Amino acid sequence: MFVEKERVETPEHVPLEFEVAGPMSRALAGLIDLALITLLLLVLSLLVLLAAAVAGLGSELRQYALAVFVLGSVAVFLGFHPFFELRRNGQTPGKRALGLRVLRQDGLPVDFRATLVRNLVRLVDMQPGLLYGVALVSMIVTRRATRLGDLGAGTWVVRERLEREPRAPERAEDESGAPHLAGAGSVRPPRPGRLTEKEFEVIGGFLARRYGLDPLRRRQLAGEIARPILERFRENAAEPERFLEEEHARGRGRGLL
Amino acid sequence: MNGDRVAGFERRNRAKWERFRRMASSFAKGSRPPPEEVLEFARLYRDVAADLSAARSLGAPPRTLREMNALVVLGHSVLYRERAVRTAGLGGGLLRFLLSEFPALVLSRGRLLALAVAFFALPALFAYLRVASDAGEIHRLFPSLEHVIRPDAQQGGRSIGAMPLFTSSILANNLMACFFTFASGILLGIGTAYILALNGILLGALAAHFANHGRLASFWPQVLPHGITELLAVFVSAEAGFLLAKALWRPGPWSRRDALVLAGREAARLLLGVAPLVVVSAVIEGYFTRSLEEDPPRNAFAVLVALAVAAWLLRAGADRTGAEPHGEGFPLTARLVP
Repeated sequence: MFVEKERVETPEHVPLEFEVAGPMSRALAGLIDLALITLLLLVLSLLVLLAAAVAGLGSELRQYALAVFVLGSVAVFLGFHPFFELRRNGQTPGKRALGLRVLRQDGLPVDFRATLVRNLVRLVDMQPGLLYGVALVSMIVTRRATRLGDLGAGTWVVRERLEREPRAPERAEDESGAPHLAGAGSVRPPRPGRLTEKEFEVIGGFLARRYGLDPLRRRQLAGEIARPILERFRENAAEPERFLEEEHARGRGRGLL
Repeated sequence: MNGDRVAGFERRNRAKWERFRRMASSFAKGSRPPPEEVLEFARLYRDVAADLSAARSLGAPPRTLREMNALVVLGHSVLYRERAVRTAGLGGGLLRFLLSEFPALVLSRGRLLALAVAFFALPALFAYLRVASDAGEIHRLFPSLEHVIRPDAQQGGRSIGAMPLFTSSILANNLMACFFTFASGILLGIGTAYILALNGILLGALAAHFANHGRLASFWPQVLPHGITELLAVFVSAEAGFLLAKALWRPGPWSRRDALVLAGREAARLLLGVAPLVVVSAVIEGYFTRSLEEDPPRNAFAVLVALAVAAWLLRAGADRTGAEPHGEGFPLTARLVP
């Protein structure tokens, strides 16, 4: 599966890059939310049973307890997603666990109307039953993998990389080490992050799917990708795939914050 | 590669980025910033966004770009956040919405409302005529119905103790039905039309069934007192659903994608008014109808409800100031949250 990226321009005309969340991660987030909804309903029904037991069978209070249960379950079923999407800036607990977030098409956070529409149309998206077949078809055929509710609300779901902590020590090492090595000899030392962004992406794509490739084709492809890069660096590599791995790791390992 | 320039660029700006990251993540968690920090934050945001552009054109390494991108995304989502919903004064706002804005909104899409009524009424009429001309037809239409509905049976009142449960079940069921009617509008309106027609057929066939037993006069008092608001709720939900459908059939000057979003935003306002209507009709059905034993007071009550609904809709129709203009632009200009 390749990573689908989308750009959204901010009012400052700076394009922001987002990763589109795929059907699989959204399904997992949905399962977590479903488990939580079930849990809430269980708690609610326990409370109601307790209240009914205290009030005694057949009493009018028991009727009220049951009525509260019926209304409560509808409120949980319909209100769970809107509540969290509004309170937690587009993240239900399941989405938060998987690093997903609902955004509006222009990259802005969801508002009340958007969350209302996307979660009511969920009633159609979840058909048949709770299997979300409609949503799946919609996500496959639309840009940005939107289900019908997203189309109606003008929203989409993005995957955010989990924030990493600063890696200051490593960087300090890089900086102090690089000038020293650079002056050492005629062979240019491998410098971190010397790939272009394009190359980095191509290599990332190759590394992600290499195990699914025919071994011969895999070697061949690694060679084809590595050749222009090696030529630019004026280097050689006995094993192109290993070279690609190392360069990619270097590009990934260099941090900013 | 211009690695040195990139490194210098990073060194110069790292402190600023770090400060911005701290502020953004603390604001994202909901802490209220002092006013002077808001201005600083907004300035920093513009700076960091510009830095991201600069980093891109300098050819900074991918990981740097990714992290800067995440930083600007974080700031963007904090800065352009929707104003938090205040609960204070919400009651007054809701009342004003229900009394003037909502009816005006309903009438402003009168054609779609009429379409909803037609998709209900025509099948109802059709079913009535079919069952009235052939009494056996109802069993073919609804095989399971005959055991439940016996027109000649005396209306036995339920024990008043069951009313809360009865009312809440009706409420829950009708609310889901209304929302489903709306949601199916996104299937080109076909789902909405289908649900309307199904309910129309049910009502028409039942009315004819009672008529066949010569008890039509006792049918309406059972249906109308709560039915008027209930049907209005269904029709408005269908109107909202047809709004979505219209965006797909006839998107007008917009692309279908954009038309659908605009329609969705309008439909959301319509749906806000549906829920109170459903509540009102469930309470009527659960309490008022049951407490009125005889048919004449029930009919009188139904007339009262009808008049109230008509006055409510038409008064607001006279001045449509509350309705939003149809051509709502995309909300590109979001507000700054202090």
